[in-house]
Amino acid sequence: MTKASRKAALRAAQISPALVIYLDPRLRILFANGHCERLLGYTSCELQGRELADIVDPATLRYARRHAASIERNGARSCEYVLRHKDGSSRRCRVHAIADRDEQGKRVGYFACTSDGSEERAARAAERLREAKQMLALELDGGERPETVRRLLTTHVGRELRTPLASIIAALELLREGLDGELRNPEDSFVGLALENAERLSALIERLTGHATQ
Amino acid sequence: MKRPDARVILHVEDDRSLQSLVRAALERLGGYVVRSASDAAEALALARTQVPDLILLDLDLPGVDGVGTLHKLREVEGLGQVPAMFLTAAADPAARARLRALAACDVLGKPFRPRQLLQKVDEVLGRGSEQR
Repeated sequence: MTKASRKAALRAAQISPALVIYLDPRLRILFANGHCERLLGYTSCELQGRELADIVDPATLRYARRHAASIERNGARSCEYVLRHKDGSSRRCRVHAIADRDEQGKRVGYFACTSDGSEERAARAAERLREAKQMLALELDGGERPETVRRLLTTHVGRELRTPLASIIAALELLREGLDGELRNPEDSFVGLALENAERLSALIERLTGHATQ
Repeated sequence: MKRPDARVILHVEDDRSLQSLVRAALERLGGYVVRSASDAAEALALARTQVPDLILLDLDLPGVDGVGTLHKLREVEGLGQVPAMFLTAAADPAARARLRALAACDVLGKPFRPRQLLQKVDEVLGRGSEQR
């Protein structure tokens, strides 16, 4: 990639709907777009110049180094990382990474696009809410009673809340069964999953109520 | 808990928490082997390597939705008659009935309890708890 192309790619990353990070070959962060604040609690400026070790735990860092080596051999790769939020909590994210090479083919960095899936889920939820609003408008134009309107809205909002709720209930039930998470990371324990989904549910309610007042 | 003759369930769900939890419930409580996919493409790749005994799908998947994913899976050799079950957040009984008719499969609403899911899976696969 030429310098001009790299600059253009980073400009495009500023408006990407997902978190995009650019790292040098030693895995030092040179750029992060605005989504880092939502996902990791740091502003773009705060992240600039930091080591990857500052936002992942040691196990994930070892994994990231293997991942980088694998990118060398196989090109773009997609892996699951546990990222550490500024407040100390963890976020499981899918990371899609690709090596950046200069005109001579020398590796000069990595582009990593990171998503916890929330953007896509939120976009789908927003789309369904828009559809619900359109339906509501049609119903109101047709002179439907407030009861119909209430039923439609409740149906759509309820649908968005059921998936995180399913995770919370399943995690707690499995804990009650005496099953601990035999998962790779401590963050993946059932309590961790329940907490993560409780936060998701809370964020979703915030988004939905925000949307409702627009 | 896993046995060499354990039956294989292909679970298609884009929510990673739910993926982990469904796997834990079915593998550790039920002795099944669960293979997880996040979307239609991953599901097709997994199904081509090993024909599952049951397909478990979320209805609201990114890109191709659950119904479309099931249709694609049905086209894979050996998957035409494999039973399928939807896990859906759509509460409307009419919508659930339409799903049953459309894909000739069972439907379980979200949120669900792990034991409830296991019981449903056992029923679909014709297995009693004494066989576990």
